[in-house]
Amino acid sequence: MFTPPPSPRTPSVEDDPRPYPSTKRLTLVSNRLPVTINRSKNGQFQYHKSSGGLVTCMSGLGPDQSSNWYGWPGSVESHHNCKVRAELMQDHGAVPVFLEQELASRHYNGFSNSVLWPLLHYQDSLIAFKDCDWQAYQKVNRQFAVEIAFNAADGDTVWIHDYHLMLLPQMLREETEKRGKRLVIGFFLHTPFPSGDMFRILPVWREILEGVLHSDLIGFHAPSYDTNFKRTCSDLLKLVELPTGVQFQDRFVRTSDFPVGLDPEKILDCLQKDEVKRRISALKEQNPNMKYIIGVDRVDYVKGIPQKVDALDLFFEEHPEMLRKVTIIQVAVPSREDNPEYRDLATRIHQRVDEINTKYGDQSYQPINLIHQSVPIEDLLALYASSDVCLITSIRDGMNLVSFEYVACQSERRGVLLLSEFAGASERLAGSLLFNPWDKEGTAAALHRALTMDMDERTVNHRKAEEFVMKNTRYGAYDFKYPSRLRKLTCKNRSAHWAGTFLAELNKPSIKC
Amino acid sequence: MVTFVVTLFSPNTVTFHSRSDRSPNGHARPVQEKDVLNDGLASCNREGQQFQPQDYCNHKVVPEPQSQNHHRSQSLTSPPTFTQFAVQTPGVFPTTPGATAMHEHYFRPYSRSSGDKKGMVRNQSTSSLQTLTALDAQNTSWGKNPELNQPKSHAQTPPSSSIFNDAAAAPKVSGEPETKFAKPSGRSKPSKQKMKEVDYTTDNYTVETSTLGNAGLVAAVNAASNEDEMLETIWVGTLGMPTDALPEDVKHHIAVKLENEHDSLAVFIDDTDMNSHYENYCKNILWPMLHSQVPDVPSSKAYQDNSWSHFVKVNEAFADQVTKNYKKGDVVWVHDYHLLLVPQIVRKHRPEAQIGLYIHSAFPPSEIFRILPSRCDLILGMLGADMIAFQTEDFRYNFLQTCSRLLNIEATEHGLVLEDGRFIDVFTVPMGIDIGAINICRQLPEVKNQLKELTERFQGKRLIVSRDKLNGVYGIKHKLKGYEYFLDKYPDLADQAVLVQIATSSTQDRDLRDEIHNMITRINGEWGSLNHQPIVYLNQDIDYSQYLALLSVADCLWVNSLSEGMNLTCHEFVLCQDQQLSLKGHAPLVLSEFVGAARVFGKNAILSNPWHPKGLAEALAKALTMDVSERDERWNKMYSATKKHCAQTWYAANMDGLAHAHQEHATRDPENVPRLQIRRLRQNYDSSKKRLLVIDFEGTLTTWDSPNESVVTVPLRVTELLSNLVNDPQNIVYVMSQHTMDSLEHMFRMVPSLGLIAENGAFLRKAGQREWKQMVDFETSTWHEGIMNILKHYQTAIPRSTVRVLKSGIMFHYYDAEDQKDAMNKAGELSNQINEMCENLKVNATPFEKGLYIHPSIINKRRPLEAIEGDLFKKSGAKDPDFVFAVGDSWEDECVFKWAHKLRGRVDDKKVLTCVVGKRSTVASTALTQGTEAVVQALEKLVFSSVTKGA
Repeated sequence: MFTPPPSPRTPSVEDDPRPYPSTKRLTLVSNRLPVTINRSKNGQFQYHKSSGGLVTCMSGLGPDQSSNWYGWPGSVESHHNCKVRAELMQDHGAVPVFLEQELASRHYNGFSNSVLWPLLHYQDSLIAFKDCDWQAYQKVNRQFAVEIAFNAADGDTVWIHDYHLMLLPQMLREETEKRGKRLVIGFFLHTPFPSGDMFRILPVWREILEGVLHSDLIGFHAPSYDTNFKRTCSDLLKLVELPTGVQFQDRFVRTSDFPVGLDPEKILDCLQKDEVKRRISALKEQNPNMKYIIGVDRVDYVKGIPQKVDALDLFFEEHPEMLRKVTIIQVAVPSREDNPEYRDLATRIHQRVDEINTKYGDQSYQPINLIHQSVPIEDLLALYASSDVCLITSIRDGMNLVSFEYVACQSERRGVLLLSEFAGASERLAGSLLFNPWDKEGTAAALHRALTMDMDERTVNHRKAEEFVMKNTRYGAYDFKYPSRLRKLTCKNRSAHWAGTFLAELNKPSIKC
Repeated sequence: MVTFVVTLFSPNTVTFHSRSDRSPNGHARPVQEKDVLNDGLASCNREGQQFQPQDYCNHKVVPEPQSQNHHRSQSLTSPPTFTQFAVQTPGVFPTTPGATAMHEHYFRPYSRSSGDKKGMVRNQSTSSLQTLTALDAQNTSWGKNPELNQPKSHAQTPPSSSIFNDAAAAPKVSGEPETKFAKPSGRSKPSKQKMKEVDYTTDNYTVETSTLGNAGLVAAVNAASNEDEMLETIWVGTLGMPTDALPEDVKHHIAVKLENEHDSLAVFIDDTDMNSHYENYCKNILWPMLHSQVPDVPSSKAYQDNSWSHFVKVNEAFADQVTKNYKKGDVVWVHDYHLLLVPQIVRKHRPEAQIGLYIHSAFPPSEIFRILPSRCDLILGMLGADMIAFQTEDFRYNFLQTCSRLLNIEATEHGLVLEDGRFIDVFTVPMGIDIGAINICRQLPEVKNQLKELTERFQGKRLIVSRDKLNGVYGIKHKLKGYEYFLDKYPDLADQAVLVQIATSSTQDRDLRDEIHNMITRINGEWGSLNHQPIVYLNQDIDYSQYLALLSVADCLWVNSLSEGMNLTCHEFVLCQDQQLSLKGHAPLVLSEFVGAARVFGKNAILSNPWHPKGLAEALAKALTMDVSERDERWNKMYSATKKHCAQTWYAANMDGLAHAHQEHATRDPENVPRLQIRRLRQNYDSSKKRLLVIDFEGTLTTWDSPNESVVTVPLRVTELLSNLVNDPQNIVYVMSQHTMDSLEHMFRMVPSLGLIAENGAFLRKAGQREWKQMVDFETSTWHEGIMNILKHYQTAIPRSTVRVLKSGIMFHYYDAEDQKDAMNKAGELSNQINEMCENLKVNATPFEKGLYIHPSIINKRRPLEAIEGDLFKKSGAKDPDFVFAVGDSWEDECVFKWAHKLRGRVDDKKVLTCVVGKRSTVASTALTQGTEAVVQALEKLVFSSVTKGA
């Protein structure tokens, strides 16, 4: 088979073929493409749509929104670039931004995950700032900017996602202005934004802030992140801060919070599956009197899993009567395993869990059931539905959708949601029991309260939480009346609620420059 | 009047004397002890009396398990291992592992005795000598001074490990040697046996200067006392040593002696409490957090021993000691994070006390502070003070924001307003050094000798000097990374540069220590040569005279802390660089921007970000290549700053601030505001010819009402009352309200010539006129939409709350909310959110009864009154008012009272009366505590009196 010569398609100003009609389109940008590429044995590329986070949030935008998605496709040998590019474009509306292996690693593992991620989550002791990583970060952002600017048409809307691409708004402006195009640029940060005192320890805080400020609209999950961001801009850059945004250079940059939501319909449908029902009853039969506490976290230091285990230790110490009546099911989804920090964390969690299981358990009873792998959605929903308590101990968390998923699965059991006050969801989600995960005693006390809460209180709390989860969705508010056990939910508005709100705000005429 | 300076460690402690020279029958040699005890200045003249040879021996084998000592004794019994330092000769440092140069043998360890040699400047230098140890305050182990003979701790629970470490790093208190390095030798510890020879009796100790505690504070207080002989200060603090072993009579004896001879009140605290309070809570939990050190993962041990409860107990003991000795008029001045709860406890027992609190350490952003499980208790403890002062504006801001975000306390420009209206002044006073005292020390021949030696030794080198505690917060690791970058990128400078890193000992973080040792070994190995060693590293403090000499010959001082309250080493460095002693001088200061001193010296220091290796290297290169004129200019400015913010001004500013705050608060205290005497009011009213009455409506004339009532009605009785008042031609009556112009017109349509002030001062209708006037230009367009978005969320969060849009602003009511307590909390949150967000826009959220009024801050009730003032006074042909009465109930009426008081002088003092409704802190001269009914009755009495008079 003939392989085309390696031609990393680095576009230049001269060949600007405008391959797409210049109607107003939406361009989504994230670090990773929502498509995973595998190679089959016969050398063919296979493409799988990823199921995680952003993809599902966007899927509700519907077919009428013509959109394409830019991102890194993972490592592809450079001589296959053309082929992959064509296939991705054709079948998935995805535009790959090819990055050299080392560059990608310095950008992703280096600056993004070893500087920005810990910084945005207040873990300053884990920050490892290296100039070469910073160079790589700039380079990758520039590469994205060049590629997008090359294909974009005047007046297009570009929506950039997350901390990997914080310089992109500015670079995209520069690149498009060179080509005489103007874009509407939105930026969404899916992590917390820290207070200014923390942010300014970043040696390149100015570059990052100014990079993002070239957007027209900047979105966050929680109001406090929005406040922190604006306050940081006003403290460090001396910008004028208004409740709706900040004045930056000659433009007004809007900022606001857009709490992301779930697709409750999908969850409720899935709960009706026989398979799920079977699992739920199996769990019940296994041990009818057992109360389950569910925890679902990515293995990441921001999730506070060691803090959770410590609190459980104290809880069992103070309440030995709860032994054999309570089991914790902790799903720990592996994450970023090429970072030693994360590998150490996983080891530490295993050790601590073993310690506690040895301390309080025996052959017939293990207080903590650690599942260190990804769990299929059916299993997960069954676990949610069977648990009396959901324990979320994030020490910092952009939003935390586990809390929403749990609530959506609890219309019958009306279990108690124990939510760390350091999770973004806590700023909005009423009806949850809030606690400070750093306070071991407080956490243990909250856990006891949750396990002994009477049904009346559980009902009141669950009603509040459910109302929020059902109204604040990805797609729009549902008609929902309480109490009705089996609800037929009708969707009022199929346009994506979260994404739709953001885009509507972004395209408000007043903010176009 | 006495000022109690309350600090964890008193500047005085005691040492007991060895009985190895006792006679067999157990009697001590009588003469010497007696002499010592009878000498009131025992601590000053200690030299030559105590340091007998046998004492010296004893000193060498003190039972304290300090790591360095331990290494020494171990080296006798087991062969040195890699981690062990070289065998010690007294007075010489353990050398860095792998060190090749002989420099290290030159430096002399810090010791009290060497510092004390300067008998001639005793009084002065005691204080300044301690400046050296200022850094150490938060990290030296309590009760482990190897040079003093003090009892061992009887603490029950071995203190837990730090939150950063596992149990291995637990500081030892029981006198057991560390086991990490040593193989059990099987031999009994000679130190223990020696210790037994010391008896703790009343005639067997002398008072010593403590090396623990806050030396900067001691220096400042001493400096202030030297200036002002009338100043009476009493220290309140612990001895900084374990005291469980002391018999009660000895404790009593010490307490009396300290009180009588050293102006010190000793606080005796149980060893267990003290240990847990200091080693665990303060050092491992509170201090790191105040310096924004988020613990990686809390090791369970850090919280296991309930160190919080010990923290509370120690604070109670301090408060108890203060309360017992407090006399009316005394000043209580509490210091630092160890004693954050003391202000509140003292306040509880002595509500009238004048209490100040100074925070020497940093204060983190609220997002970090809220990690602390006891966050609210700590803040509430602090709020007992009249005044709280911080080192820098940043820390002050963080504190105010923490109060407002965590406890919904209203933060204003000058401080905090508590729920009961009590005000707490919060301000910034950077700490400084006592220049005079250090200058005297610098004149000592020893300093000059050291200087000469140092100059010769480092001939042709560029000295970069650093002195830090070996603790993560001081950023030594970050510094070494930057230094390595510097060596790599600036080879020309690297050949001459020598970084003298003094890392004062710390047993806390062994991993860190090893890591730093490794880094230094690597850097020296990689960048050094046979005749050049880029880093001279001393894991111990150096002799004070040597320290002063080192600061004088340095080509640069490098402070790289990740967070620090002030760092007075910078000040000392600037002072030492004045070219008095050495031809060198005016050297630049490379300073982390996260250190308090960066706010004092500003851009005149070379500011750097400790997290940025490249930036650090550039800063260092800049420092070493700076031309003379720039050096001179920067140094001169830094020197002025050092002089301006010296210890004396710091002390005075604190005391003035506290006195001022207390006086303000006392006059406003509801307890001190006299009841309105109706009879007097009536007499003044009757005897006046032209009267101005300014009356608030909501909460004063009528009770607060639901905002959802479609038509606001005024009770008939009030309408009648107002009509009667207005109908008297001698009266000018104004009613102030938050209602709109239209509503007010409608409400008071029966009293047409009434003066009206609408929307809390935005609009005015003068008495007898029909036109409304807008008081100030304001605009709502910039903020209206943003606020409405926020309000929408809160409307859902607080069921049955309502939003009303006015011309001047927005009214948010939660009058009808079911859960009032919850609604109030949320409204407090909302108010803080708005105030914080709109600070630059000058938009305020002012709370009122069950609601918030969001408005441009230029709108207040005072403006319309100032507008009518011109009409009322000094108009030709008209009489000036000779009676002013203002009555109101809420916070925004305070400015009305202030305005009325300003009229005093133009109007007879006695005839300006202001009255607050309810029990709140106020500037008003009188109060009515029985609600609106009392107001209406009082006013009715006025009408009645004029009616009867007229009849």
